[in-house]
Amino acid sequence: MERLGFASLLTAARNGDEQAFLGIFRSVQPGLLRLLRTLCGDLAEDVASDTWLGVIQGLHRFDGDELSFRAWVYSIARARRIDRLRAEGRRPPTVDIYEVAEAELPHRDEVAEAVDYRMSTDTALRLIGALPPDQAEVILLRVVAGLDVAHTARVVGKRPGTVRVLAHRGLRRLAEVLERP
Amino acid sequence: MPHRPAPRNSRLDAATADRLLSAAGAPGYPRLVQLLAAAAAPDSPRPLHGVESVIVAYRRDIPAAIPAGAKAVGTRSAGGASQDAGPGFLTPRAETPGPPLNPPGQIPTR
Repeated sequence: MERLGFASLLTAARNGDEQAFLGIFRSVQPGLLRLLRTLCGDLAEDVASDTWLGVIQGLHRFDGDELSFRAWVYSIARARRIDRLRAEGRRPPTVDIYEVAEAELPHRDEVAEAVDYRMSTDTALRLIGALPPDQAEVILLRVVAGLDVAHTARVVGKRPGTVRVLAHRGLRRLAEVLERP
Repeated sequence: MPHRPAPRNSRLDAATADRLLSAAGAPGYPRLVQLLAAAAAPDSPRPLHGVESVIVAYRRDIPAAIPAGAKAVGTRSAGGASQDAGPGFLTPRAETPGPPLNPPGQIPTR
């Protein structure tokens, strides 16, 4: 999105330039799907589709820079995700983070393996997804969506200080699991 | 479920957490840095999920948002996005219509 300039791309997309819209879609969709798969599993693709319908319907009303646009998309995704989970009568699955770690991470005594070990994206997301949902969401918005504290706070409807606390707790928990003996 | 107590050195502080999330890394937490990097790693190139249905919705809904009397110019059917965005991107449609295809009273020859 940076090559053309987000403002130009957004203006073009708003005025019917399909390639400009696809440029925006390609830039946002991978991270959006990654976040949704972590937070709502097999509903992710449906929620992402709902989200883009909302984006298309509101595109002519949106006004802001690229970071604000991303935050806006993730806000729509959050609302659609909550709607879908309610409609399906589902709660986010609870997974024990230590069980995930046992299954996914090499043990400290497996020295040779640990030296060569490179964590996969799937493992990282499974560990983040095993955190309490509010902590997982904030960390995903910071890391996967690339939002700063202020925009993350806007997406989740919490104060920036609360977002910092949630992120800190989540990371501390992950550190405890990763540094386990 | 094996629940192990956390080692003392894993009690990272809030400032370190902030630095980690700002992609600046933090000494002493190499595996946490690795986890965050893995979570943010770009996807391998592959077809994007859902692009077809989203484009159908875009084609259906977006033309309605273009103000009447104006049309988009500079669009491309393939390749990069239009570089013509900005002032003058919307050009007024011609006010005077061209001659009708079949003037009244004239029978088409074909």
